[in-house]
Amino acid sequence: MEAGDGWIVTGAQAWKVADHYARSDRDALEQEVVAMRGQIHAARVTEANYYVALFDASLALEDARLEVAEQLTQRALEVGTALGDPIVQNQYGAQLLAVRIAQGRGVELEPVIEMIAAAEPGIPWRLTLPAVLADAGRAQEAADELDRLMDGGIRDLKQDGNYQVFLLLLSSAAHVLRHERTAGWARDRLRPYRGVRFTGGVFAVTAGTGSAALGLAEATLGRFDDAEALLLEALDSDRRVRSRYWEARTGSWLAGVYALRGAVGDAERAAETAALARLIAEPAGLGSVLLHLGRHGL
Amino acid sequence: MALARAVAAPRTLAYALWAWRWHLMVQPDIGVRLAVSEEAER
Repeated sequence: MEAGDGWIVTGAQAWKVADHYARSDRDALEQEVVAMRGQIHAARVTEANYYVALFDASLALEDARLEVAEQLTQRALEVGTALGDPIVQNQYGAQLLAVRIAQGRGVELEPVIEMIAAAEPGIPWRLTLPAVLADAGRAQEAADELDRLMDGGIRDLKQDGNYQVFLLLLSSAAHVLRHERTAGWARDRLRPYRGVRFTGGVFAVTAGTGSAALGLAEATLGRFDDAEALLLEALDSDRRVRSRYWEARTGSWLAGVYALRGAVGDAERAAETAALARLIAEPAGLGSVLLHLGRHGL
Repeated sequence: MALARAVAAPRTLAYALWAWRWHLMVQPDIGVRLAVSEEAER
């Protein structure tokens, strides 16, 4: 087999990893990574080791092993740098931001976001700001950023491999800020993605499910029954794909929706759902989850 | 991609497929995405 053929096959496998994740199929995902490692070895396509390193870091975050995820993110940076991969800085920034957002500390990377946004104008990095500013309690700045986007800045968002990550980030920021204009905009775009798990390009960064992002938009628009159904669907997907991280995030969102709806039995549902999310979040250091529960007094 | 196939330039073909898949990530039908990868593996 020629090296070029090996490139084609390993590239196809790399994307299939994301496809299996999109379908909530963890077993198929792991089998694909094993097959990819074998193909890299057989065809001597050593450059593709970078993608496997990215997947290792991503899987650690799915498992809510944040320290390991950060170490593997660093390792992916080293592997990619040694191989001279052209997208290494951008991928490192994306993976590190994913870990910091999980910790509820995304705002620590605000200077990095500004720097990469300037260096990589083709990728709308500033679209991450509303979510990280909202988590940091800088609600007015975050809302101003959403206003700027809804007034036309959103045209920077391309329909490409990053699209789904930005949809989740914008929908979740709009939910925290009760920004109905952004929620309405996101809802229209999220409807086709019900049941689809989100990745940023290949399986280097994940962004929960389309169902959860849509559920947050519905909740922001006051449609709590729809939000509940969507978030329960998302929770089922999180469990099927064995993502402890997203199970806890989705659980915190669902608990918050119960607290907002305030129907008969919702206080008990909110407390029970929050307790399950907290069971994962506290030992794992998932500050994002604890932060969201705290917003609702849970 | 047709040109890359015609001149037997597999690495160029690999990059073209990669770019195609990158933009195909907005496709909500996962079967469509998988079909492109499976075709590339053949």
